Amino acid sequence: MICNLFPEPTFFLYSTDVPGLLYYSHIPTAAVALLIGLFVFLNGRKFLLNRLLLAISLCFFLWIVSNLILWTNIHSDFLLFIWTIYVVLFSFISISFIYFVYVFLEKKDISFSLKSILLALLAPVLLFAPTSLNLGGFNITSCDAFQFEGLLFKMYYISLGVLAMVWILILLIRKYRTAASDFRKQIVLMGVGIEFFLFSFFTVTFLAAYLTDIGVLPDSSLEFYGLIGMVVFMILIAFAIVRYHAFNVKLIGAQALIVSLVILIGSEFFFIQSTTNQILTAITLIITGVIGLNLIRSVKKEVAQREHIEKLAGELQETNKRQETLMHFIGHEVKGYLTKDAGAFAAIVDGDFGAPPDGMKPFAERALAQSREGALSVENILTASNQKNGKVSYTKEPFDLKALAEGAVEKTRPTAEAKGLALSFSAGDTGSPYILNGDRGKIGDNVFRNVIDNAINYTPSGSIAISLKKENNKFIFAVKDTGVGITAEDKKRLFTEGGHGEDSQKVNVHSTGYGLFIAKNIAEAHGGTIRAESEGEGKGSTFIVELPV
Amino acid sequence: MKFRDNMLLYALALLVVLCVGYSYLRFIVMRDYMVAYQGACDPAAHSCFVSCKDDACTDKQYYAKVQKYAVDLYAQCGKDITDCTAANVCLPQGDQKCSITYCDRAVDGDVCSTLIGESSTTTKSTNP
Repeated sequence: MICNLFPEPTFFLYSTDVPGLLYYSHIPTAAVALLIGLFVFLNGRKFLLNRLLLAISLCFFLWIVSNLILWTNIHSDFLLFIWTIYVVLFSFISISFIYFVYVFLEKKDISFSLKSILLALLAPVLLFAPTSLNLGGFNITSCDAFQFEGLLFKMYYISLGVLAMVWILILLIRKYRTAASDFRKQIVLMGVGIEFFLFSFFTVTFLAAYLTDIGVLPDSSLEFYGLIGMVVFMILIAFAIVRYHAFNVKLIGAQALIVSLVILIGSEFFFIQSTTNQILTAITLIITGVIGLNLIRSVKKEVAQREHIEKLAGELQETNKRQETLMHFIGHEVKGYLTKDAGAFAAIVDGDFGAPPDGMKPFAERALAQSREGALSVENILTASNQKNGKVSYTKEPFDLKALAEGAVEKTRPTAEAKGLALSFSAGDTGSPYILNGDRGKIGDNVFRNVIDNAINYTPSGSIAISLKKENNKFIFAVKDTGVGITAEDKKRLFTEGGHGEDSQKVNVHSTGYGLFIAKNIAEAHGGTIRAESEGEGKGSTFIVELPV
Repeated sequence: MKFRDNMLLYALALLVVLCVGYSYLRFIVMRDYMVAYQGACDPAAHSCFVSCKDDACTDKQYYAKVQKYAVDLYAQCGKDITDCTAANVCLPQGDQKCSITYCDRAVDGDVCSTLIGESSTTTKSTNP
């Protein structure tokens, strides 16, 4: 029988006698759901979660098509047949969502017994949907079957939706409590999307049918607004894919954005009427498509390059680590040999094996000095490497800083005097002892000694004045020389790892470039600073170490 | 385990096929359902439902609520009941289930037409 008061649709689904919002709310929503479902499935068809999302998308798509048929067609036989399918799809969506959420949360398939429960919940719908418990007849004047719907059956399949909402909410909350922070964000995204979809879909669809049935609304067009839930759900899924690579799918934001734009512009065809607007929209759609494709290509290329660089950086880091380990090993070996050599030369100089023959003692003294210098250089390199890797530990205890500075000066005095340099030390009388809480050994050997050695190395002639004073709650240790001075350009490299002045190695060929870097790190580890002042090349320099009292 | 999982899938598929198949058989092949529509009503003979054809209500339409078994109605009128007089009456022979509901002022209120000499009349014809 046909609804004789309504026109036959063209192209099966197109009718002029329907609310204008019908196509605009249905077709883009169905397209988005189907596209995302297919996209996720094609990018990971072996994953159960992806297959379930496709199943939900397909059910939803078919539900939309059924709904469009119910709105536009006029043959009662066919409409009742479709109405049955429509109800089954409605229930399928609820049950599929429960299954989907289980797999999403647990990352594995559900048990046989749980599947049996889900099937048992669905079975009454499948068994009774074609019977008069669901539909007893059709009203061809209003062209619907609302007055012939069985209340009990309707309450059952609607309650499946409510059950799904509550069940899913409980699952999400339970998992959220124990999940890692990154997965928690995905749970929130997915949870909000699913719950919003189920709520809007079932509540609005039920209300639309109920209010139409009791005559409050002229038709059930209110249900159009329920479909927005699916759009929100799909947007959140797309976000989860882009942000967290959910569903094991790699999608870049540009792809999601361009597809959304194309769908959004394309959907305008369902409500614009004038030919001019249709042509303009078509042009906009084509331009957006072309530019979008180029943009996606370019972004994909950049993403691929970035991933390649990240991979190379990872490999480089690994190589550096291996090289560093090797260097450490070599450093320790060399230091060991140099220390043994120094011990042997010291024994000769000290006459442990009897008085050395004429001419041997100065030779042995030079060799001893060079061995010690070599061992110190290796030690500096190893210390700098340890500092960089955070492997240096400090043993802090109170000690007399003035005595330590005096000791450092005395240790370096022979070298200075050998070069003909005048070395002086002065300490301000503060009336209180210079007590510092810190690592005595490191401040003495690696800060004070390094700074004084540096001054000796870069002062060909003249003097080096060392001072210690207490000012503004700081100990200020200064080494002022009449040496080669520092250019503004060299100052930038002075305290860096392996940093040399441009011509520094002409003055000191043994410079490793690590001494001042180590001194700076140790001073900073004690809450202090180190800096260099110089009026320029050839005008001497002053190194100042400040340590908090 | 796989067989058990598939067993549920087969059961689901079977239920779907049964559901779709029976639905097709019942509604499209057998036309086993009732059809409701507004049948023609003579206001001189019955208390009819009244509706307006336009906003100003200058042109009124009188109708009774008819329900017929779809297979019978199809046999009597074909797909379209427009201009089919058999659609407006319950035939003693040929209508397995049929009812015509006229307007009852006590129930339906002012939407009923008034018979000459009566305030309201409700006649219900049901066959069988």
